[in-house]
Amino acid sequence: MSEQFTEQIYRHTTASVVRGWRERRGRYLLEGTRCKECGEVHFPRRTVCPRCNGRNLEPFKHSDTGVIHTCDISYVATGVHIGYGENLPRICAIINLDSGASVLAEVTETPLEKIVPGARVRMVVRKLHRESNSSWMYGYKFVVED
Amino acid sequence: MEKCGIVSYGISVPYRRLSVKETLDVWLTSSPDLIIKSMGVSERAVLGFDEDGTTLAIDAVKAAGVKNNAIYDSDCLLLGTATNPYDSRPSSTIVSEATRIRYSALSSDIQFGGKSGTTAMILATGMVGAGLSKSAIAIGVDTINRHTAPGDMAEPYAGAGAGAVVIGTEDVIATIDAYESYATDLSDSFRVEGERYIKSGMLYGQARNDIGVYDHTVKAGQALLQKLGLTAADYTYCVAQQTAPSVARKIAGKLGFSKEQVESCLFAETIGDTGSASVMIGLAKVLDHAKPGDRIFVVSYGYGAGADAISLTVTDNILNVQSKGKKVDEIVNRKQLISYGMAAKYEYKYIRHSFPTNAYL
Amino acid sequence: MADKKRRVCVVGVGNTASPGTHHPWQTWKEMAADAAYEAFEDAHMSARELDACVCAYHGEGVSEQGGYGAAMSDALGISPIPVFALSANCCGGTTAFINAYYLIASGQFDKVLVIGGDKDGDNLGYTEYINISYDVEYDYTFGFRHRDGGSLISNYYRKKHGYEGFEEMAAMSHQTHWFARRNPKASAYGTPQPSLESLNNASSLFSMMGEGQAACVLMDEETALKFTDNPIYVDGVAYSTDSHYCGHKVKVETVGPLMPEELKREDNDYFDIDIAGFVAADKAYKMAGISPEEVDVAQVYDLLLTCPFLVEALRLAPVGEALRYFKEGRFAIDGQCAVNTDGGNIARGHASGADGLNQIVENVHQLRGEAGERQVKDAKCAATLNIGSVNAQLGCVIMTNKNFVHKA
Repeated sequence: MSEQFTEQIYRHTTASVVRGWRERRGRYLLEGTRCKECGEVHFPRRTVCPRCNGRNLEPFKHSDTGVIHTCDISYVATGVHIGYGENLPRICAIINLDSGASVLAEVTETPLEKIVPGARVRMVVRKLHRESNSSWMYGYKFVVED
Repeated sequence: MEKCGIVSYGISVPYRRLSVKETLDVWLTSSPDLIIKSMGVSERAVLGFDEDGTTLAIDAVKAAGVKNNAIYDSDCLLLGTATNPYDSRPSSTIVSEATRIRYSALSSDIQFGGKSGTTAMILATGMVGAGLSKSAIAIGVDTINRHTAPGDMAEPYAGAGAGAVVIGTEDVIATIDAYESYATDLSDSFRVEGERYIKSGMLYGQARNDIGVYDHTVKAGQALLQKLGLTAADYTYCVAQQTAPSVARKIAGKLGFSKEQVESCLFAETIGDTGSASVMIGLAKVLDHAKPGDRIFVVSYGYGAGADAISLTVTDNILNVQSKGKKVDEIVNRKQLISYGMAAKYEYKYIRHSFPTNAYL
Repeated sequence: MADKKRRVCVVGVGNTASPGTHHPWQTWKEMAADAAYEAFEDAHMSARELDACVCAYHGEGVSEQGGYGAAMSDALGISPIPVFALSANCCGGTTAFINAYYLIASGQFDKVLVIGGDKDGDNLGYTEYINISYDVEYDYTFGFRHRDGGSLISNYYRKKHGYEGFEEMAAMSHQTHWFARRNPKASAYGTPQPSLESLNNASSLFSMMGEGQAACVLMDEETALKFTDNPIYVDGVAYSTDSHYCGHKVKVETVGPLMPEELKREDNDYFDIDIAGFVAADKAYKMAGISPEEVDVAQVYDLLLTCPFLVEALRLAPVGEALRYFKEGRFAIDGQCAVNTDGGNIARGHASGADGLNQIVENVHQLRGEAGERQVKDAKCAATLNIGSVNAQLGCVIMTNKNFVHKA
């Protein structure tokens, strides 16, 4: 039936679902890591702490809320990734999460004039483009709080 | 059986809307008067390119979490839908992961009917009542819009949405007193495996509604009233399947409920048909305003699924929860109107290349 | 520290014309041979005299060629010498150059060809391929491109340093275009110079994406003097790496305890500067024993605001001021230091792996005094600072000619 849904799938590589499966808590819950030695928190999750180079890291769930540090609303359609060309203008932002890390994410379902540095945002889970093996992928985006 | 009931509730609807008039301007399948005036729908919800039943369900559960944070301790999650993004693999486990429900929870989809939400609710009640679960989340979600063909008579009012209730025994805001069901084998709408679009099995019109939605809801509803020895007058509210506001009004009327009793659950004017979510969202809207002691009568219907009828009584605890988070009206009214062309793009209804062409830039 | 006994020199350079244009008639192998053999001719040597080659490209997927070193070896007719292949996105050319420098400085090789380039027009999905040079699981799969990172940084830089409209960007673009019209190898050469007004918008700093190859031959000084009496000395090289992920560019926590003291800020927000770029430039200057004031001409990567960014990392302007300096003409042909004298990515053209080497090629022409209409008067010291991905790979090269007087 997926032939009836005209979503374009890029197949430079045909990924195994295991890649997304490993990152699901990062993508659904903004789960990163925290260094048990020095306390620094990270996102995305890491295997080595860059502050103390310790390897003793534990999962750390970042806050769902934060503030827009900087954003870009791009009307230039060239080179937009396959599966994301449906949503133009393309909106991206650096969000400073309340828990300390900064993430690169899309801001969605918000009138354009409200997407400005300093706006408070809240994380939501949305669908990403189709994975190259045709399964659905989900991940975080942010909505500006009213 | 332990006395249990709803401890929290939450809903989610898509942000974007398409006016009924725009669709009718393209296809002329019905008169604006029929859909807008008689049926009572002026806009339908459009699914964003990055939304599906799973993302809507996640948002509904999180909305319930805002009202009562304890729901994240649930050990059961039942997701009712007729429009699952996957044909073979549930979405319940994705929702569980994204809402931090424990891995040991009983997490399952309740497929494939337009009443899967209330069925999930009844089953959740059974789990909790039998002491098999401490707290069970029941979700009704559908993306009718994604699975309705361009030019279909139902297209102007095909919507999407999700509603979640959490059943538990502590801090119950509305007890679940009894239920009845009535189901026969009738394909008044259906979608066989491998097909994208839901089809009506009969000509649209009175006959289809009479043997389908009205027959089943009346039978289930009357059986419940009889079982409880009550009449419509004993209830404050009636929440009925809301393919369109007119359908909910008619079901309520046939069961003896007044216009005032059903009015509070109506939201589909700017959303359209939300399938399994329609009574869940209607119930949430009622709970937003209900007072302790109010009785609520819920009756749902799904094509080929029959009807469920559930009777609830609101408790004092409702006052703690009502004020938290956003009200249904606020969520429904946060919207952006788009054009027919954009809606078709977002819902992937254009025939395209399997691979995009690009410019060398 | 540079070994005085074994200085490394650039002896020959070559590059394909119009790297900002699509060349459908040619294969990457043909373009590579064109660039390499131009460099051999310039060095007055034959291909078979080479000891080694280092080549750079964006990566295997762009033109579907794996085992690139071996493929290059065959294409150039230089088998069986070692050909080391590497990829470092748009910094690849510079990274290859720096690698080749170390090969010679170590004493193991005397004559090394460096060649870099890309041919993305052969792949319909080339954009997809380029953008997996990222964190991938948390940015590429979420639909983000390098260009998004560049735009975010540009927006932040402009807001923070008081740039309201696009006047300064227009001035920078206009000047860069001016140089391109004086560079016969530039893609924009021969086309009308765009007016300042037409450049006064957000799009005036997009690069001209194209296909090309650029090459140079490096030799140790003793060997070099057998081939030329005007060797160009490579006095300082440095290469830095950092995370690809844009979110890490706020606090740059990734450099951990190695955050340079003099760059530390109270608010811990470094989004408007390139820490790795500062580190690379600093190391290269130190190694060369040269200070920023002595640089006469500089080539830096330019897409959106990476140019002022990198100009500031080279300490040719204080942080936040480079864009204003362009408007004031300080980086024009007769300014304190001429910047992007070949037209940069935006007018000479951008062919990823070739960029870093096109920058070297231009600096060599400038230092030899053969840059024609765009010659910077009396150029004696030239710098390049190149970037790959979003502040992830930074390469700096400082070169001088024989007229440069080193401080004691």
